[in-house]
Amino acid sequence: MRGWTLLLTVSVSACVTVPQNRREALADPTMAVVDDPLEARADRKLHGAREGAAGGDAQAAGGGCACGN
Amino acid sequence: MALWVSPAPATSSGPAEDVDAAILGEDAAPKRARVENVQAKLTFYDQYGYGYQSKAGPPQGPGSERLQVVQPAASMTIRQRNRAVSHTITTVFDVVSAASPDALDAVSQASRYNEAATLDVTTSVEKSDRDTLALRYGAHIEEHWRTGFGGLGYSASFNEDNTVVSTSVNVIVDYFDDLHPRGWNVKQTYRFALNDNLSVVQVLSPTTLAMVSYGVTYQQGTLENGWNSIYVSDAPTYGCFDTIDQRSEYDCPNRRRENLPRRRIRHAFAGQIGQHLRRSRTTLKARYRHYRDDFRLRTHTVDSWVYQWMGRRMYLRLGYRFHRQQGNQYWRRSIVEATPADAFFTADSDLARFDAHQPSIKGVFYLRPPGAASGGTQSIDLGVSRYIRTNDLHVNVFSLGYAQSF
Repeated sequence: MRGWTLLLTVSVSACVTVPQNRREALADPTMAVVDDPLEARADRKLHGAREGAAGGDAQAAGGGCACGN
Repeated sequence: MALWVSPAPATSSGPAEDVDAAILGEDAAPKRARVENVQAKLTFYDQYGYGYQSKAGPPQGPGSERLQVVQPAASMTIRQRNRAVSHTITTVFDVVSAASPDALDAVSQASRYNEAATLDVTTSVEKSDRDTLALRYGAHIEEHWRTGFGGLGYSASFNEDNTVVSTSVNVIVDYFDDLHPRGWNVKQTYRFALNDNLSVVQVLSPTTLAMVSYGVTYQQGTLENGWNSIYVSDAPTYGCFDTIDQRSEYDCPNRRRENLPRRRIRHAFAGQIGQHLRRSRTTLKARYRHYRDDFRLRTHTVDSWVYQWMGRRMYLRLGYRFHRQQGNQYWRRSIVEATPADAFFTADSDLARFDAHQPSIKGVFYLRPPGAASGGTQSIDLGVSRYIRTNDLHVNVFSLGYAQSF
């Protein structure tokens, strides 16, 4: 039930349009979905090779990782 | 590619456009391709611990998983003269001391170090202000392993760019030596993966950004890596030795190669939210990921970060990651001789039940901060983290990075 409430809240909030001239805070480097692509890539390898739970996240799973993935 | 990417609008460099560019003061018609940003990073991994798949120890295990990796990486984005087209080229090299996990090393010590290299290219075509197509391709090479991958992506923005929906399809083919646990090469083998992804990024307020994603991966082929083995508890050990200095223990029948199904379907759901606090110049981020597959592996992962600007030129990032994994249904420490040849089993501690914790700290210092009159940014960063797994594995990670946008 809580999950549906959260989903509904997010969906309703999504209807609000924030104009470009009010998105200064969103342009802050710390607000990027991925703030450091090379670091994110290294982390994926670190975790993918040691947790066997790779895949999703808009990234490919498997490939080159000699770790039973 | 030409079949699905229609030519993007050309940026003419005729006189009228030059006058427009001069009046507007913008680079409307560049004469050549230009570099938009570059990034470089050097990461060092120092791993300690033990695992039951490793043979660097007594036959009944656990064996050492001691490992060190030096990983230089670089990335560059180049925008073509046709400004709708850009290429992001990433290269990663790994120099790995792999005396314990690599069968060739554990048996013969022929090479203490392995090298690996990856080339990953994404070509993006902005078909309009709203639509972007992407083509991804590349390769990975290491000691006995060859990988090729390719993929297509599409993203569209709606609601004055408040919503961005992205989808992608990737194909990965691994071609590698099928190594026997005792070290010899049995044959060449392969695995294949098809990966589909969908993600939505949504602006929720002038200071709030959210993202949700789902990905499914289908794998087929040899899913074992070949050298992982499992202890056979009741096998004869005549002539075998239990010390690492006595290599003849690996000629004993008391270890058998792990055996996994030839197909695997993997699902991952993730959500992330970021909130910027203007007054204190703080950013809070949280991320949750749930993973499940048909090996009955289930994981829950929570990431959290706090970013704090310290003046105009520097921010600190504190992070903490928690990962809980319910073990793969095939995981066990040992088997008996009577275990059928077609039964599935693995002793790979990466697939066992465990929790993992990873605190981290990173500082980013801007030589040219965001918003500078000259445009572009230039920064260096330094990061440290410690990955701790409750089934006896930990990794210290150190990184040094440089980034510049033009």
